[in-house]
Amino acid sequence: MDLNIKVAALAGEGAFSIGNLLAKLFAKLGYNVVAYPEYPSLIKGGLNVIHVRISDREIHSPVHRTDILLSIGKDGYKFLKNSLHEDSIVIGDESIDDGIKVPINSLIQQHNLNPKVKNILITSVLLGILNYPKDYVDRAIVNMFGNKSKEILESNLKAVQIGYDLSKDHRTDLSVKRIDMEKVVVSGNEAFGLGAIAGGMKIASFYPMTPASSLFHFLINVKDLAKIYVIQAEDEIAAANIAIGANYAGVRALTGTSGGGFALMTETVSMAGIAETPIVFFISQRVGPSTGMPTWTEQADLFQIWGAGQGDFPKIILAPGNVEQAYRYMGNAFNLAQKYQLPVFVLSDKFLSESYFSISQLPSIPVETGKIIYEDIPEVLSVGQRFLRYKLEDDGISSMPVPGVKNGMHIASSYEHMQDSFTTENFSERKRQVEKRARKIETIIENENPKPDVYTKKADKAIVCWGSQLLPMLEVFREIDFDLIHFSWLYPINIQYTEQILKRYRTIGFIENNSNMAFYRFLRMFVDVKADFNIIKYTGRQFFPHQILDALDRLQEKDYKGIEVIEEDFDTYELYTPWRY
Amino acid sequence: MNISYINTNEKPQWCPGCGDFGILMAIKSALVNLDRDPSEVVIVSGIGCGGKTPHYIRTYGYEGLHGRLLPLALGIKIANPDLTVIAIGGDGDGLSEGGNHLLHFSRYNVDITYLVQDNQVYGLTTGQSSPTSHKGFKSKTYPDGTPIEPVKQIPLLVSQRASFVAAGYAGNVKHLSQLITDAINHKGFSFVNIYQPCITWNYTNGYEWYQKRVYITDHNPEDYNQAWEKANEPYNTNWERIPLGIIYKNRSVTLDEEVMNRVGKLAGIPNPGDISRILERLKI
Repeated sequence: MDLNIKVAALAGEGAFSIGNLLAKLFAKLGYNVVAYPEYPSLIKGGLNVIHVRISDREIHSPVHRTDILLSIGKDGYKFLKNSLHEDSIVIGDESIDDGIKVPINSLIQQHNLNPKVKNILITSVLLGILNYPKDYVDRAIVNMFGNKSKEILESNLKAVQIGYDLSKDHRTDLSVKRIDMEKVVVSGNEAFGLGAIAGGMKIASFYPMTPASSLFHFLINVKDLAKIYVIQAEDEIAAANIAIGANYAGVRALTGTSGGGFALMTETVSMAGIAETPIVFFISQRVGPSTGMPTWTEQADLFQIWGAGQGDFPKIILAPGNVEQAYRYMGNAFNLAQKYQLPVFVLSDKFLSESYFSISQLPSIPVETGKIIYEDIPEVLSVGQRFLRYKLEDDGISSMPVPGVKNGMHIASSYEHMQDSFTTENFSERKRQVEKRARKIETIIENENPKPDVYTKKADKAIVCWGSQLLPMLEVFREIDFDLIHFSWLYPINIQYTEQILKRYRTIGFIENNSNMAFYRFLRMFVDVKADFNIIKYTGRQFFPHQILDALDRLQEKDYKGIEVIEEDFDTYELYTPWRY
Repeated sequence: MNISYINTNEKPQWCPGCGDFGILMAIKSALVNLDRDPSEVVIVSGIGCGGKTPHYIRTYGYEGLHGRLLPLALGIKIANPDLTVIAIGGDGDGLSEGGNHLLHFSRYNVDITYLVQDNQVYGLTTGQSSPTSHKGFKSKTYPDGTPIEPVKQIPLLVSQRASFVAAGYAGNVKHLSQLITDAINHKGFSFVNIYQPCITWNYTNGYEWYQKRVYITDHNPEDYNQAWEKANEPYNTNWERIPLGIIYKNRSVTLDEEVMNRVGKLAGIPNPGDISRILERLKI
């Protein structure tokens, strides 16, 4: 079974809470679930759609096809009609043209229900049709609305009953049952948050910006369980500096934002570079430039991250491709930051950040602090002498005592400094410090052994992708005669090893969710590789698997040469700019 | 604390006669009076002449970014409230580049001491007007005289009911040192504006100019109306009378106390977090 349910409603009418409910209900029966919300940047009105895909096999990405459409209002039908097929089931309110019409308004009046139960009413019709165990639904409703008023809870429970009753008139051969152990549903940002908590993060500082905010909302929701403190700063500059301060004091702290907010954090990145203060930046990309399309997705900020910060200093850039990697990479980012005393960037995008996935389990994350010193230093400093904080070491990493540690006094300095941290403009001291910091790159490559993941079919052609592009590509991979190479560790690059891998293939293509082929150009700064083809999309939406397959078909006719630009299947203009119609 | 514990081998690189020397001396003697090991003190600075202060006091220090010392200090303090955290920077640093942070620090009320070296001019960037330059002050920026009003930081902070607002003078080290001691001992965000001559770029507001105008106030700083009156006195008298001392103070819960109450001690070797109960909560 591979069922694609789309829930569509105007913003504020609860499409997402229904999508989330459906995802969790099916994960409870052991199904694999992927859910992805799409919405314009406004609070009321405008079309919200959530793609909920459930399957008994492994799935990674939403697909275009709609098997079941739940629509409150006409717009969802209009937006999704070209994804419907002859067996699709449409369930909606009185406004839909054909399908199962639920007389929502008269039912609400007749049973004296709270008007907000529309979404639960329609969903319960579907759950009834699918023979979904009703007691789980009731329990979920109590979970969702138990802390609201009694009237709201009872209205919703009644709506479930009415929906199930109505479903008896609409039998299909679709039916769900328990197929496996219960799974947990997490969004990309929740996985990043879980990773941070597992990795020992204690303080998070942020300034709200979609699509990074929901990571911090999650941390706030679980702060008491996790024993963490989340602070909303006055701006992104403060958020970054608060996190730096905490990390300097030895406490793992995270800051995060999207591209626009990160622009403000850039000076702090450079400071962390020269002062060698550990810090983890979470950056979830959205559509730019500038304010762009705030609630849509793109992978166009790689050069912003790569170039962030004046001067020359090492950094680590990671771009996990799915929730499991999001969790693991974020947890480990705090280890990397402390072990190598530098800024670590964890990149996401709206697609990964806000997609929901079912997971079975998450591994624990060991904590490694490298040369950070937490215990008092027995050697007493002589009068006037500072700790050699920036001692020249072969691996480029000097010991870093945290404040409070006796005999570790030093200055973390945004100025160039001598080994004992005092400011210097001595040319040879300067040169030695630059070289010391640069040596970290080799140390990282040696210790961490960063390399791309290769999904192989022993093909002589390969497609290269990075970050969240893994999700649709894993769907496509099943159906093509290509190897798939995914970069989740973007920098530093093990040049020799990467070249070795790429040289195996006769034909190489790159696929990216941007217009500037950022990762291809980035990789070429270090690695000798020439793309035969590039597939790019920059409409503001992620790739649907069928779009990639179509592009590959077109490329085949051109001997896999050239650039394929993906168009959207349907122009959403009218639906996503409701004030214009 | 013995002064030899916090002395450094390096000599300050300020112009001879700079107000920074008096301020350095006042901080050091305040630290000597403090019953703390130098390793328990962090001095955070921004960029500017006074930003070099952490280099001449052997405690922990962070010489950060121009204007960003306050959030940096906040991060350190909430991570480890056992530390004494002092932030120090100039008027350009704190009131121009860092103005937004200052506004919000009355809200955070984190228990740090913030010393503003207010010499009404940019020093290290060679003599431009600063946010506190008096109207008419001739500078590189405005050779015909600064045409705009100065920031009125003391009334601003009092109006925001910041926890501790004080004014000191680099020419009265003894008084300033006591003021810094009081600021450190006060639980809450403590703001000390330090009037200081810049002998290289500010020929108007020198030691002599100040000496004639400053006086030590004896009003009740816990009375908001008296505090408001004193905070505005320099502006009401066209700088004829400049009160020194604690202008305003109140005591309320600090951010670091709030963090400590909610999550306990955070400092020390990091431990892996337990996510099992959170995963349970994500189920329905």
